[in-house]
Amino acid sequence: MKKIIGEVQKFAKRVRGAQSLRGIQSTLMLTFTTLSLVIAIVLGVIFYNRFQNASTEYRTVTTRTVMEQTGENLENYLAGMCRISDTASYDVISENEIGDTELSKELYLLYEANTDSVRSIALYSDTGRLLAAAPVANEKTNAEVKRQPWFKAAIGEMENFHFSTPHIQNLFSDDSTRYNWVISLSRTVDTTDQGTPGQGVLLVDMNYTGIDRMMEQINDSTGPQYYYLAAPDGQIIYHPDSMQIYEGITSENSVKEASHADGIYHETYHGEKRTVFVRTISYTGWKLISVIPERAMILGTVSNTLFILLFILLTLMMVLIVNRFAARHISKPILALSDSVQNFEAGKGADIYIGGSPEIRHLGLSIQRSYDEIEHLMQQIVEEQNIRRKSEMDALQSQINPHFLYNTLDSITWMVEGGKNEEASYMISQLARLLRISLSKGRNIISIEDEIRHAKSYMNIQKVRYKDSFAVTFDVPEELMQYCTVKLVIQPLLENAIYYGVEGMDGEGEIRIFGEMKEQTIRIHVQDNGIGMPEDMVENLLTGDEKVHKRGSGVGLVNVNCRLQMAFGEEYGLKIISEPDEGTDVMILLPAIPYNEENRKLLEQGKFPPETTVGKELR
Amino acid sequence: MKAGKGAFIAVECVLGAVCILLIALMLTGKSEQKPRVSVVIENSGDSSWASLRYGMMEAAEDYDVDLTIANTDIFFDAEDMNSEMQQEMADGARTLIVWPMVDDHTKQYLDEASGRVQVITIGSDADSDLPHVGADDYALGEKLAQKILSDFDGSLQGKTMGILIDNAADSEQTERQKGLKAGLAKSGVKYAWTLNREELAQNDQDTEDFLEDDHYAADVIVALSDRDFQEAGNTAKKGELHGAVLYGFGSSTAAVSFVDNGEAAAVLVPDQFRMGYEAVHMAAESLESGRIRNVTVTGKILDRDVIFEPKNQQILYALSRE
Repeated sequence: MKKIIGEVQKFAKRVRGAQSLRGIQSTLMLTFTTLSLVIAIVLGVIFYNRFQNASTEYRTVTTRTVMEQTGENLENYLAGMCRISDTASYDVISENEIGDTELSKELYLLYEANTDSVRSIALYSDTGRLLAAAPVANEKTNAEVKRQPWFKAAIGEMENFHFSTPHIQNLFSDDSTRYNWVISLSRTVDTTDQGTPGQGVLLVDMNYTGIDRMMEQINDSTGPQYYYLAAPDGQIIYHPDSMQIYEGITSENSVKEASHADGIYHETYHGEKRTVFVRTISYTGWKLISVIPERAMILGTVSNTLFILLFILLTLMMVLIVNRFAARHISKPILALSDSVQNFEAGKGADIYIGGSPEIRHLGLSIQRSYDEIEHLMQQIVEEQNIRRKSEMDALQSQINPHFLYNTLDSITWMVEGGKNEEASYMISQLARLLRISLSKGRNIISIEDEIRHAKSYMNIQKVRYKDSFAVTFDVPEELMQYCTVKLVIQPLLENAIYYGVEGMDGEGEIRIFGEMKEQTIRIHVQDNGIGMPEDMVENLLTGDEKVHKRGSGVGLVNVNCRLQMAFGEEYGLKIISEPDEGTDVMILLPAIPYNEENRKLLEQGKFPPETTVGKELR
Repeated sequence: MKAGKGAFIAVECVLGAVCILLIALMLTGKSEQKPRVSVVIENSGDSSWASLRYGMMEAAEDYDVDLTIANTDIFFDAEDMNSEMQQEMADGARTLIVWPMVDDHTKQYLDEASGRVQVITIGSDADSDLPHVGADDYALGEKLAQKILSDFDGSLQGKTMGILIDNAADSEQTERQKGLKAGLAKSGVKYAWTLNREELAQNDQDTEDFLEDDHYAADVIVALSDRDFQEAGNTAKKGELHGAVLYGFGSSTAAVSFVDNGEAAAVLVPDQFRMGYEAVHMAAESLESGRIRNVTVTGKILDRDVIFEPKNQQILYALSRE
């Protein structure tokens, strides 16, 4: 688990790193993508609404068309029944006497001509007695015609046609066990019975199957949408789920919907939103009703929604690809410029990227010029610093020579005047060697060997001057001889050892010069057994404090320490250990830099040789 | 750079996968096949199944299943029924709705089939534990008894009753008989005879011949199946039922017509539309959610006074559906 978290964190870090490096590219891509996404979504929503509206409009138009056609078909069907009733009334019944065989014959002919749509034609007296019927059949004994709704309706309103709702015909019996569903068209008619005018009720029973088939056709493959037919009071005439309604499995809002005038209505029934189309059928006042549940609309729009989602996703994919290329194209020269500047700053390269668009090219050129100028100025500053350092070094070194030279020449003069020519000659030869090393062709860095030789010459001179009143021993190992040192650093220490250490001692003074190397640092000790110094004086010796009393050549320890640090760095220079009445040990700390021409030149310029690992802070 | 490129490829891959998913969804939505439900009933084209078939077809439309009613003849034994079941399963039926025939091997065949597909029994449960849709036949028997008692002013004292039973091994009819007898327990009726049509048929004897025989005269005759009711009705139509008042169970327009024509006093019509509808509904539900529950339906008594009442006309509408 920890490993996974670690990997995730590493990945996130890498992403953050990449993001910070590619900030411009990310910003450009994010901006382009967001903009494109917003546009795609807005377009998607617009398309969706447009599809939705078009789909609703199409369904509305289709439904209206179906309802108009079906309404007209139903009206034609009913009108046809009215025509049959009219024919029976005016051309058959009015023209024949009750009981005439012609009456039954003509009724039968009329029935035969319309057998597809007509189940039976019957004429009853106003008392409910069967007067004639086609086809001829036995009347059921329990028919009770006067109690039948169609009979009561005809007697109740004599001027009108009366259409019943669908019902089982329950008038005639035959051998068949079938029960026929019919719609009864009844009306009062004028009759003549043996010359006496009277009134009767004409019944034309239409096959319900005609309407049933017509409605089934329009309900075929409509999905959740359906059409039904209801009487004005809401009684269902046809419904695709009539049995389910009867069984209580489902229900229909037919009473409310049948009460509507023609038009489109929105309602919520049993928690479902639905759109209802209503059209009134002529002759009967029946209502042809189409119900479109909301889920029918949703079903139609699911594929549209999927399509629009697909459109948005594909657009997004394309936009991401295009954006990535566009963002890379724009940001590439900027990133190249940024990388080159970073490399320059890290010292990995000096070339600034020049390329891309004119603006980026101009920027690159400007940066390149600025860096060139900065580098030039820096070189100038370094050179100036070197010159100043050299000047300071020269100034410090120049403090050595006059004082010492004056004293030595004074000693030689005394020797010559005292007839000590041999000693004078020795002194002059030592002085010559000393001066030769001091000059060193103007070099500041010399080998330790030369420096020791210089120190020896100096001490030889001083020993003559001080008549061997102190002992001197040089014990610097041969392997240290070929390392670099700043010239004339031991001689001032020897001078101090003589003046403040061993001069005027009761016993024999001893000055010991020895060297060692520890951890790539060379230590050259100038040790005396003189009077030593208290600790507070030791602490102030290297500070350059003017209050500290100094004697001798005037070239103090500060001078030597300063020159060493200028050449090798702050961690090098002098280190002094002294005990009063015990003596003093002054250490010269040097980096172990092999002496050769190349290293010497670099050190002269204030630089360290490349392979040297110490003292780099000098640069 | 690599992380940015990786993220870009990852986003493109995710978007591509979603696109493929959407396309698949669009294509499968168009080509999705309806689950197939097959019905195995004996002599499936018989008019006595009209209401049952109608209910099944309406439910198939409402619940969007592919309904197949196997075209069958009379089953002579359970083997015939089983071969139809095997055929339907081989044709890809995911659910079988079976009206089990009375046979010793029926339960075994049903259990075998239920190991392969969902099996729902309808009508009789054949003593199996399979999901079942049927009538509470005992209650229906009691209901008919109440009607008889009502028609005879609450007492059948001194009256004799003959019972026609199609198959004494059929639990549907034995339960009806039990319910009937329980309902008439205190009526004082005497059971004159019980005719088992299956037994008569095995001896090449005809029910109508027995009914016409004076020996089998009774004041009230109760037919426990549609077939028995029609045979008794035909005998009554010929006027040879010795004045017996006929009651019984029927599921055909023919049975109703005997009542309509006065040859029978009343018929109890089990709600086979509901039975068929609920069986397919149960099949659809089990296919969709695996949920299943037994369903019990009722029946309605029709006598001459109420046959053509608007509500009852709907029963005839269902029985008339061919």
